[in-house]
Amino acid sequence: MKNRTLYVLSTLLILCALLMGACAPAAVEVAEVDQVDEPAAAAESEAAAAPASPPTEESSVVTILDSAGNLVELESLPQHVVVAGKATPFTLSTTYVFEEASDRIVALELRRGLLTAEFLTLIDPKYEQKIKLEMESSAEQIAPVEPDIVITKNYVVKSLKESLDPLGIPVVGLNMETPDVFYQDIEMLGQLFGAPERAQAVNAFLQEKVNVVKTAMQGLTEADKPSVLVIQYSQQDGEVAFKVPPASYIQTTMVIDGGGIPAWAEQADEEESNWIVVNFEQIAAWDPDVILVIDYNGNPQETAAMLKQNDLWKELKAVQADKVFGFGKDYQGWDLPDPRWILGYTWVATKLQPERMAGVDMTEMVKEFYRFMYRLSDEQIEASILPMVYAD
Amino acid sequence: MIFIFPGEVRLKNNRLLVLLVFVLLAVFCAAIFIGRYPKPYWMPLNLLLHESLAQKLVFSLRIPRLLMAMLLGMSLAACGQVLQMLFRNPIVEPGFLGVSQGAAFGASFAILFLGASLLHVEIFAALFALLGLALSFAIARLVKFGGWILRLVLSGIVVSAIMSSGLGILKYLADPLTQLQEITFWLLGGLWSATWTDVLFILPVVALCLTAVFLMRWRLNVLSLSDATAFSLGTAANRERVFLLVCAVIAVAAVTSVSGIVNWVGLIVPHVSRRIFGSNAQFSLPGAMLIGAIFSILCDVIARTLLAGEIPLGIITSFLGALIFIILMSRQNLKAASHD
Amino acid sequence: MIDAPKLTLSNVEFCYAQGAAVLNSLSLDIVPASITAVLGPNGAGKTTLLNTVLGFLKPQSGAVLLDGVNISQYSRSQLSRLIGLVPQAEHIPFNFTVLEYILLGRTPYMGIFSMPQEKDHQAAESMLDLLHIAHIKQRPITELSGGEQQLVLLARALAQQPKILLLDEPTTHLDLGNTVVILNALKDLARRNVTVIFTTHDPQVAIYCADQVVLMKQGHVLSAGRLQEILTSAQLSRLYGVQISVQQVAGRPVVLLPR
Repeated sequence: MKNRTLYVLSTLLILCALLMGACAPAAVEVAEVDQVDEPAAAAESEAAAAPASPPTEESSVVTILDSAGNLVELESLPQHVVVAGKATPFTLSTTYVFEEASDRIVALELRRGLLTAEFLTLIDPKYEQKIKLEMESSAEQIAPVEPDIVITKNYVVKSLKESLDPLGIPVVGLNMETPDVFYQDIEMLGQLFGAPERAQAVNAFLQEKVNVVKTAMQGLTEADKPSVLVIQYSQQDGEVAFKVPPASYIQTTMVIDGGGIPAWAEQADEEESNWIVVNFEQIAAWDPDVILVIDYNGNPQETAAMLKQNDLWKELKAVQADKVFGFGKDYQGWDLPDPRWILGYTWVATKLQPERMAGVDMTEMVKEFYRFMYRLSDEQIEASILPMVYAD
Repeated sequence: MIFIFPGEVRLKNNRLLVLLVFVLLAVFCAAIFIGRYPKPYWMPLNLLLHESLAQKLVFSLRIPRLLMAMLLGMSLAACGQVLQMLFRNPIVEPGFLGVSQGAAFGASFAILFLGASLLHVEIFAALFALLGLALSFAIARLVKFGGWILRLVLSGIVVSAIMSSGLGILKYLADPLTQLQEITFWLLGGLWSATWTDVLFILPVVALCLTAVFLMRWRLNVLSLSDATAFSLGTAANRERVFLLVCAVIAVAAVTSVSGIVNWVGLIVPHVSRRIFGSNAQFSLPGAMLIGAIFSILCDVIARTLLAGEIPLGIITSFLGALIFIILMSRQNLKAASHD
Repeated sequence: MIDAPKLTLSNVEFCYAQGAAVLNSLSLDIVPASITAVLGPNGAGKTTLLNTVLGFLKPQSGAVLLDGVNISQYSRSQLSRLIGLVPQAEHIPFNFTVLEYILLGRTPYMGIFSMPQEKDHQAAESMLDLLHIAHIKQRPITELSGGEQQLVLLARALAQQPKILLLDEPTTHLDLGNTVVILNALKDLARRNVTVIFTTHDPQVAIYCADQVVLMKQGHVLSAGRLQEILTSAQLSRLYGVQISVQQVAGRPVVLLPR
């Protein structure tokens, strides 16, 4: 009967539309920038990969091995470096830890809406001369700059390689998502810039700071550990959302190493790779001892203060004990895959176990960080960094 | 009125409607006690009576959200029923004809470029929702092949896609870093940000529009007939149809501007209602509104309680809606079928 | 009883948007409280004529007059209480019950926001009895046979209590039994002062119940008048372009096709 065919056809059409609708947001989420959404499995396999040392037979060949196992061999140190792909603010912050970056980076991608340009102007006197690429540049934009090598975020490496390999342009990736893999990334950059001593110094600096926290936490019992909630406050489109990070993100490590128990991580699905929206009821059900409020778009301290005033939030244990803190941030949040993670790592510990971390002064640490990592002078730090710091 | 001199069928239908009202009240009351606090699912009455946090949760969060869910379900179902009858097409709903998507686009547009004043948002949502419907209808008239049902569904898919893409472009232009996350909210819907302000703001509009549609529920039957017949029975068919459509679409636009796009409710609920009450809109329209409210509340309870994280409402309604749709389709020919 | 209004068509011209004229300077006087059969070949414009009388189609020139007043002067609700149309067939997309469907005919007496009252229900029920279809009153209309549907459409139009009833090929899908039911109902209506106009292409149907006959071809009226005068062999042959013979059998005219 004609109508039966019609209805079958219509059902199929509708199911297709439904599938398309269901797929579209997933596709959009894959296109997400910025927030680390690398699946946990990949991060684990990268953490397991051992860092390689350059072969010693041919000393004229430069070997660069990134944390995902991509091997690049060049005849000499790359002089024209391009930083592209997604999450460039983090890639850039990490790359600039090496002073050679200022000379050797010829082009970089900027993301709108972040303070990357301001920060780079501060730390790189040659910033203005560099070519600014469009967001999510393709091979067509990158190739004309004639790079010797392209640095990007690890999950973009595959797609960029596909288009740049035929042109003979090598690509390496920075992962940066856990401390262990961060050290590997620094080593890779050391190979790339021909500055292995600097790489070792940076890693030593980071590990020393990590040890400060770990030493302070020795002897800590479960009973001493407060339950902690890390929550991102986001207000877009007139719609307020509270989100918790997936268990695989660095915030979880920061809380655990900092002497706390992450209240949200038990229930979070291990496979989740995106921020999860929760409503206030769930926050009230967790009723953590300490709440750390991330606000990427505004001032976390003000946000935390606003929440403390809220009628509903006033009922929470953490608010009543005045343990709600805006998560530290300066040009960039301290909880992101960026060298600043060490600041976040330390800061979290000072909030969770203040007596044990009493010897640590965050302001001094910030100054030390910027002096060491980015070679800024004290005046520069006073003038440009400290005013940007929001950290309770 | 109808209650005074009931014939047998009318009596049965009226009783069913009253029953549905009670079911809605029961579901509403039960849902007040269900949530993630203090533990997943049930909140004991004791707690509600004595703990101030529990009381605040219920009054500031759960109740406005439940009201919002109710209005959402009623509007979508009423609009679906109106669309299905006026277009004589059993496979349409606001989400298939570009109405919900247009509303979401209009609301986003207003928020991004005109500031988030609730008034602007609602007006733009309504404008683009009506535009979406008009476009779907116009394109359907242009398409040259296929029966009317197929043409309208196809053009509706096209217009919905255009509006959704428009939404995507808006988000991307605005702030590619963070806004892309928010698009999930618009495309899949969610009530986690519903506040009393939202409810009180859209309530007058929705109440007005749904009342108008409700009052015309019998007239809807007449307007679903052919143009000549509707004329011969004394109606100003086109004007009255446009009036009904405008009212139904504005109600949907208002709720969509708060909740994002929620699909399938407008498709399934009218079918279920017609199963129970027959096609006579005098009963099936109020039935649809009540069933829509109940369904919507149930879906929202699942969305906010099942997991620690919020599940977008549209996912639940799509899943359940599609399931019910397949069951309906396989049982017998859709009730609104033409016969050979 | 109230007199049926006098219906006149005066030089009515009508064409659809892109086409040639369908009604060409058509003038007609309908005798009140009579049954008029409009005969003509396919494409003569019979359906268009009915829709124009109904007021649904507006003529480009000329007028349809009721008691001398152009029907465009009447309000829609007035018109719908005066004129009813029974279409040839209706594509019915929803499974209303028979009773609900007939009830729709009460719309002219209801406001936009009204619900059917008890008197509307009673009027509808009485139509069921009139046409002997009370036994199917709860059946969904999508499950009716062609003949039953036609009766339901008639019942709906009758529920409007019109003074002028228009029917478009009312007996085309009906068996002889149902045909007689309908035609008897029409005769009954005429006795109650309702003017009945129906189109048909079967002259025998006209003979059974009509007093007046109109012969239409290509939008023109070829001839109009009392049945006995108009329904002759010569007229019919001219109308249909085939040799038709009208004979008297048992005192009534019978139409015979050529051998």
